Amino acid sequence: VEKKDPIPLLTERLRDWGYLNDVELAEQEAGVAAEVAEAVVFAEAGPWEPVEDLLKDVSTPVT
Amino acid sequence: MTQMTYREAVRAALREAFQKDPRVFLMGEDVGRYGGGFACSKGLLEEFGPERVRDTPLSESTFVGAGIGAALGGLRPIVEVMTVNFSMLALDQIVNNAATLRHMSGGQVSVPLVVRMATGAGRRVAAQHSNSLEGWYAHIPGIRVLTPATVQDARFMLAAALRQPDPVFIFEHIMLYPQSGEVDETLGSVDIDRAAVRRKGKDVSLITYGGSLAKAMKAAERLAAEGTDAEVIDLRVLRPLDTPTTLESVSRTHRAVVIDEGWRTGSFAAEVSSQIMENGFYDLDGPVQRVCSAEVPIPYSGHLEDAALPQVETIVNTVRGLVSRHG
Repeated sequence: VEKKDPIPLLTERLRDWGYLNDVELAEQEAGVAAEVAEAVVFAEAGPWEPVEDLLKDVSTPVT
Repeated sequence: MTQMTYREAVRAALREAFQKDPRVFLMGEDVGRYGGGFACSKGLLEEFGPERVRDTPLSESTFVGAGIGAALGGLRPIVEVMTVNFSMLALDQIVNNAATLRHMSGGQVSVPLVVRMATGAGRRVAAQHSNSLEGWYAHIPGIRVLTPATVQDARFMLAAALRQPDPVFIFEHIMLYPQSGEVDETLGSVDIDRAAVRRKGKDVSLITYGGSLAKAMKAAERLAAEGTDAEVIDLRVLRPLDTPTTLESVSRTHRAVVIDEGWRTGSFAAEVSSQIMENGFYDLDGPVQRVCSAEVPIPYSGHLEDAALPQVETIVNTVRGLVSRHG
């Protein structure tokens, strides 16, 4: 299954074609990991949605 | 009595179906090597082989259509559509072919097809995986709609469904699979015609089915503690609907609350309510009440999902309102 995983396959191919080297790849992965970590901290620190908002955004308000 | 989970009961029913009738086979997404999206068919591929336990491509319309063809050709297919959410992709085959062929052929052909699917909310898997649309299916003439709510029914409804000459749809609520219950193996079968009174009572009829049965039973216990004696009816079969059982109950309790996880507007609960109004109006001491889901795509967040669904608390409060108004 892992042999068919499109993410490592694409990474490998980009490397073969010379669009990506190990340094750039490490930088990208670190950057993404930091962004995700930041988003998790933000989400965990956020309040729960109020139950009064249960029916919010079911339809678009007509203005 | 044998103790088993709902999931084990479904598996035992499948195994028995394979053993009893060589025309029976199972097909659907991940039913074979993976053992089923809810592990109902785990081990069956090894036991019965790939001819009878068939993994299909992710294409509901195709494999439900193939099931209809196999049924027309003399086999007894059991098609597992992983969840009711994905059955939307097979609606054309179901509504326009499975349900109509008997009628449109002037009675020349029948479609002895059984389709099983999981339904319902409660697993924190958000709107696209939490629908309760069995009420839609109950709208369609030409098919039978079953909603096993107990382990006993999960164990024996399949065999009864396979004896039917016409398409049968079995809706298994996702929250029921890990639930444990008792099975009387000596029974061997159950009827798929009648509703069942799961709890006797004299003050109010709680009418429900599927995943909401346990909530209604808990509500009845809580109401008993405050002196209200609730009867609980498990509809079991949504089409054809056993209205007499409901009417008989309401004629004794004079109050009805229908609990249905579908959205309130156009819900199956609305049908039950109409049947009571048309046929039992003069037995009522108060208006028929409904406890349904809020009119919102089922939210992902746990506390909002809980707020959107029928709960024991809402059932209890609805009954209190009904009893106090006319008590």
